[in-house]
Amino acid sequence: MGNIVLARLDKIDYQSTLRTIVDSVERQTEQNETVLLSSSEIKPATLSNENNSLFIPSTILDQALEGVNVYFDLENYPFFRKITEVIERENKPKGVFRLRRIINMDESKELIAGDLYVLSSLLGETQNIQVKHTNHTVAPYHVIVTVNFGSGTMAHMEYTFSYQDERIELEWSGIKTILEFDSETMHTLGQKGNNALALAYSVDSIIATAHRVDQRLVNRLNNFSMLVNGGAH
Amino acid sequence: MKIGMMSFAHMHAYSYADGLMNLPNVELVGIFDDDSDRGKEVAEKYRTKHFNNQKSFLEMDMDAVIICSENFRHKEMVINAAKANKHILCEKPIATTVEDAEEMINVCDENNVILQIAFPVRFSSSMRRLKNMIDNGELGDIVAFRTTNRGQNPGGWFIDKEQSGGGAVLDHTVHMVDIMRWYLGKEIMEVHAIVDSYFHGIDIDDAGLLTLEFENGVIATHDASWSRFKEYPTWGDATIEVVGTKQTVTADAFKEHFRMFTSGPKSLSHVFYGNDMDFDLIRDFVNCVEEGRKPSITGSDGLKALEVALAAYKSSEMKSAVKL
Repeated sequence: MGNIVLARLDKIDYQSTLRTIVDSVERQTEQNETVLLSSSEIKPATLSNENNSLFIPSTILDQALEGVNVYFDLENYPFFRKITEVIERENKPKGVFRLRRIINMDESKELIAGDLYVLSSLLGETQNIQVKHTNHTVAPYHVIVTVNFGSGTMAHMEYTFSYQDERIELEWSGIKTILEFDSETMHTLGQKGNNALALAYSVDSIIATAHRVDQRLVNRLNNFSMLVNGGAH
Repeated sequence: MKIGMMSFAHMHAYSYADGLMNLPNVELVGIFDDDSDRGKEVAEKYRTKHFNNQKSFLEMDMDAVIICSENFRHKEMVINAAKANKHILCEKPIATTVEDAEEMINVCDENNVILQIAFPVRFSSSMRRLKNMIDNGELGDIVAFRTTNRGQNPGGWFIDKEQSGGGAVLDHTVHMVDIMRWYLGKEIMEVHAIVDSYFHGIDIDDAGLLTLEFENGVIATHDASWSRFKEYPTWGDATIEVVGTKQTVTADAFKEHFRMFTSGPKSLSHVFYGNDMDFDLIRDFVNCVEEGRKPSITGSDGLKALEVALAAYKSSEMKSAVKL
């Protein structure tokens, strides 16, 4: 069985992708080849294919058919995976977690629900979530999510939907451990604005981190989505 | 100008005294501190006279006092100094309760003395530059703020609630609330907060996240904590990011530093070389007294910042937002 991956193509790090990638189902001649398609151009419903497993980003889960695999943007970044490893070294992580994203105005707000899903897997079940947002007709549009994970962790997640370059900042203030990441400062080339690699991931990562969609996952994401769109609980 | 100092319980007293010593037109005429050992030591250091009797100290001929006591004693010292007709610079937070702060402001008004609150972050050159950019319209309309004020656990009376009135959230919320109010010219109308104690095993809060809403719909976050340990490269921070409709700009009061690496448990240190905010605060206060003008940071500014910090505790207890 082969794979079809829907993704933002500008996010893909081809150098660290080890799988053989083709750009259409028609060109898939071997079962171990992976078809990589643009998530902004292709609808999952048009890809019903018994011979392939389908991998889609969490932001378009509402368009999905049963039996697909969903992946979360945040979970795929190499920096986030390393940060997760460090936080998980603590038996019961205690501290203050801060995530900040600057994202395109056209990006789906479902991204926030996906981040909540990922962070609740890392930091524990959410006890209380509070959402504040500015007037969505004015750019930039800013959203603040305050989360009490109850077991000794509190978090602020902040999203600025704007026409600026994409950026992620993350801070963890734990017990005797402080982690700080800012994609803006991760210029792997000595050229201002060239931080694309900091916010890229491989197709292999997408497949490895994806979650089989079941009712529990759908319910959790829907719950987070309702909170983000509907206010506090 | 003759200025006296009341208590060196707060560590900022030392940099304020250093500031006074560097002003040519100012004489540090005496130090009141009823911790006699500390009072004698600092009086010797600053070559001035020590008083352990507050009444005798306030009978001296002087224009103003700087109060750096434990938080819960601000009220007593401000009221006594005001009644003795001394102008006052009071360390933040203004008080430990809203009622005390209101009484202090009223007594200063009645006695026609200046009450300025020590918010030195207002004198950070980066904070002032950002203020000018906002006033010049370079950011457009403000949409949101993101602020932080994290530091180390100061210990001592700071972690005794009776003396301090609160932990990290009280200690490290008022500065940045003051900056946001200053930038926006609007008041905060809603506070939601999570306050807890994570880092030091102490009976007082050392971590807090605040979500704020201003009367004009601007929203803001604030991270207040004593989460920095001594091996961290710097003591802490005071930062603000202003999200505007034209651009987003960040100011960091302690950004101007170089990195110093040494062999040892603290391998990396940030060595700060920016402007001395404490000195600029003292100079502003002295100018204010000299010119007899309204202080740049009033008692009311101190009260507004205190109200937000106290609302954060209430919100955390109630697990819901608090309206101001």
